[in-house]
Amino acid sequence: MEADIETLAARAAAGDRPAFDALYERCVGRVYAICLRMSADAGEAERLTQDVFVRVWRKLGSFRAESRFTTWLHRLAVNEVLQSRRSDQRRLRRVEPTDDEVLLRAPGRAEVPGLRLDLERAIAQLPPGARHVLVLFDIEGYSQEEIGRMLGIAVGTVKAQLHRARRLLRARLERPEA
Amino acid sequence: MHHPHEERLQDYVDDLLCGEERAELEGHLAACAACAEEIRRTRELQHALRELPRELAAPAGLRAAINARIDEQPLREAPADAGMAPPEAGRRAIGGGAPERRVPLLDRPLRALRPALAAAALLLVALSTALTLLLVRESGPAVATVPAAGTPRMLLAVERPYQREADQLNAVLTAGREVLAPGTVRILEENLRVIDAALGEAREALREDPGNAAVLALLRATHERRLDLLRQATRWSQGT
Repeated sequence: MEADIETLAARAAAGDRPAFDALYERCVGRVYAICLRMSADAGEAERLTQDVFVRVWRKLGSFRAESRFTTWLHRLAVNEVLQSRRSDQRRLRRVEPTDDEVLLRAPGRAEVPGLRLDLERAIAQLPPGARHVLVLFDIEGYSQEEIGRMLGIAVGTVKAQLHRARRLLRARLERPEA
Repeated sequence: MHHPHEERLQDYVDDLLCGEERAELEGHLAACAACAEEIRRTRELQHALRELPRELAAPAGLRAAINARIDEQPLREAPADAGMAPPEAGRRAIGGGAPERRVPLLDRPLRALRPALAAAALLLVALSTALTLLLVRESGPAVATVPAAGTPRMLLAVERPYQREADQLNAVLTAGREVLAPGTVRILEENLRVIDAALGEAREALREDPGNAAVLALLRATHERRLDLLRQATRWSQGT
């Protein structure tokens, strides 16, 4: 029988590498999705996902299951993206959004439906601030207060960025050539 | 007609309005086709966003790259807090709790680190001596280091894997004790005592300051070195 994620996390916390490998298999798709959608850069997303899992391995010793492992992991991934953006001078230049369909493929899916691909591309082309808020609120489901704390901005700014992101997305999806 | 601000419409879509505000806005929507259309389109977009897969296929080779990085530096760090908050030193804490819950290592008072730093220095000297002697002579068995009663559960959990391996090595080492020269056994035990003293100091420091990531990292490093010594001695006791 397949062990649940909390059991795997507890075993990995005790130094069990096979359990960590199993955790990776179960969680990498979600972590990579967070990193890719927030960074809008496939190479950067790969590097960030690496960093997240290396950090998880090193920090799992403190895992005490006071909250769900996946909650901790996903927030760690968000933090990694935000920290990288703050600290990496390369991020000062505009990143080239990924337009490779393969990179946006969900596990086990043979093809990306056209509408979904358009949406993913439109998200990737949003300005970073608006994109972060949109991904965190509309896709990842964080509250506006949580997002404000994560990004170090007021809730009013979160609302403004969310509104901007949705307006830009709608414009792009309704007028693809714009 | 006076239209509500667009962000207010958005709050309505996101279900963030209180009862009175909501009722007021719904009154307006019943009479305003433009705002109702705005709501419909935003909901449509929101629905499409929520339908996006939460997982995407990670690139091939990512796992191998992660494993290689872990193998390069297998030593685990210790997070400063005892729970599940994102464990990045000096970063803003996410999802509740006060920001900046952690103090960067270099900002911590040196006083808090002094016992562990002293222990680490002593440990390095002791290990150099021990390993040098082991290489030129023979090797010997060991004693176990056991956390005292009353040790916090967090600490026990951290130390358990090390203790488990140490116990296994000690069993092998005890069986091969006769192979080793008495002088080697004495030196080995002496050096293990130094390491155990360092472990004891680190545990003591962690009982006083359980969130001290630096001391927890030193505790782990000390355990790793203890295991290295035991592994080396075990190999010698087995004639390898």
